[in-house]
Amino acid sequence: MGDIGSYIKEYKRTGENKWFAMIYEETMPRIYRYYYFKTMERELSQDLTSEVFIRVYTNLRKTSLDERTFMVWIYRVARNLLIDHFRKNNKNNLPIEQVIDNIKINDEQVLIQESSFLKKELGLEKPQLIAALNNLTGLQKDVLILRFVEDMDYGTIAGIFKKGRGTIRGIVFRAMEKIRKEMGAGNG
Amino acid sequence: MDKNMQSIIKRCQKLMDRGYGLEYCLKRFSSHEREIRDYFSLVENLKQLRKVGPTKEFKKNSLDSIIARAESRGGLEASRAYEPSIPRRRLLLKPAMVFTALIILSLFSFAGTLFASQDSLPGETLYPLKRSFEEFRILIYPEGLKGGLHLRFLNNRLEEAEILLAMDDGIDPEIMEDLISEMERQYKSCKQYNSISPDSEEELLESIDSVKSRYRNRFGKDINNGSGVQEGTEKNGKDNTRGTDSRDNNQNDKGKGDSRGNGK
Repeated sequence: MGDIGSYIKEYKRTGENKWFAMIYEETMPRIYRYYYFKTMERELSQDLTSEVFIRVYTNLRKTSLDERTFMVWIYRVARNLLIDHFRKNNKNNLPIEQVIDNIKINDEQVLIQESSFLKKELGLEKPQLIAALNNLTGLQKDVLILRFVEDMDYGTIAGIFKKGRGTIRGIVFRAMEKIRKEMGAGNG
Repeated sequence: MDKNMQSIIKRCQKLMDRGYGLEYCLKRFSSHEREIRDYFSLVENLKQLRKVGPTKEFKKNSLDSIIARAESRGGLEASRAYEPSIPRRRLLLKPAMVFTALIILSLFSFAGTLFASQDSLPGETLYPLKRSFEEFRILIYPEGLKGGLHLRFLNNRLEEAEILLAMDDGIDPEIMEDLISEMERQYKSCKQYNSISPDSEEELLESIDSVKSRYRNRFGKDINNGSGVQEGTEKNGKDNTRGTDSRDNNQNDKGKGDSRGNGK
């Protein structure tokens, strides 16, 4: 991973779009994956990712962020946009936290389709992982993806979800145990 | 996963971060081999999901379109507050840290100024600080040590007078008068605390007399400070150490001219 902190610094100093492009290159795939694993919709994930970066482009120069606080900020922007997106489709008027925590792909067909896409296109060895991830709570899934897919440290994840490091660590272990059992059962 | 297993995984992760392989961990915690292997195999599977990404077209073309759309929207989006809030603990710590840093900085700069003032001479900017610090030390020292301190300050004044009189350029006679007056005040305090040994008293008085006479020669006038200690008089009364106070007071009452006359 490039040095996002210095790209931000240079972008704020010079205002040149080449520095914004560097930041974009480093962080865009992460935001895309965040949306993809939440929605399992490639088109929608791309649209939401674009919306996030429009907000980043408009606001970044007015902030005083380093690499770590930038990552916390961008994920919060992404999360808020997702909340907005789901709020529009929230017919039951559930509280937002509950909405974001209950995002699950209920259509099995979508899961099968995406799992086989990932196996075929990306050579994913365990496509059943997608279904196992889908059975976690929204928070467990987010934390697990940030920790192991995005290789984020516990402190940054704790910042994103406004929770303690110990809590995040506990969530990771519980989620891993749940997936392990699920995949074990699937294999058996 | 129980707490014990959690801490084993945590230790394994730390070992692996330090460069030890998974096999080393498995050997070290052999009774939990299966669980450790499952956990790290799952981690590897999750890492494979990094391959997931947007389409090539999106990667290639999205940036220009994002910038164009952001610029066309202008500052409309800017009103939306997406700044992460600073944790309350950090907000509370910040002023406390700044305050402590300021206090430490002030203490250091004061100590530095005080140290620098110790070499100052009468008439210089830092000299009042030097004298105030001496007064402060007199105030806080225990009674038994005050005599020694007065003697040290008397020597300081003598040394300052010597330096000033040795200077060729103009010295303010008022400064010299103040200095001699202070010298005499310290001498009186030394007598009061009986801190001058009989051997050194004569030498001290000679030094004070020498300063006074050089002052007279230089400025062509006597000291006009109303002090009680006058040239020669102390020499005569040196064996009457504790009794000089009352005599000095009498001399004060009589006036300077008379007392000086007695001495000479």
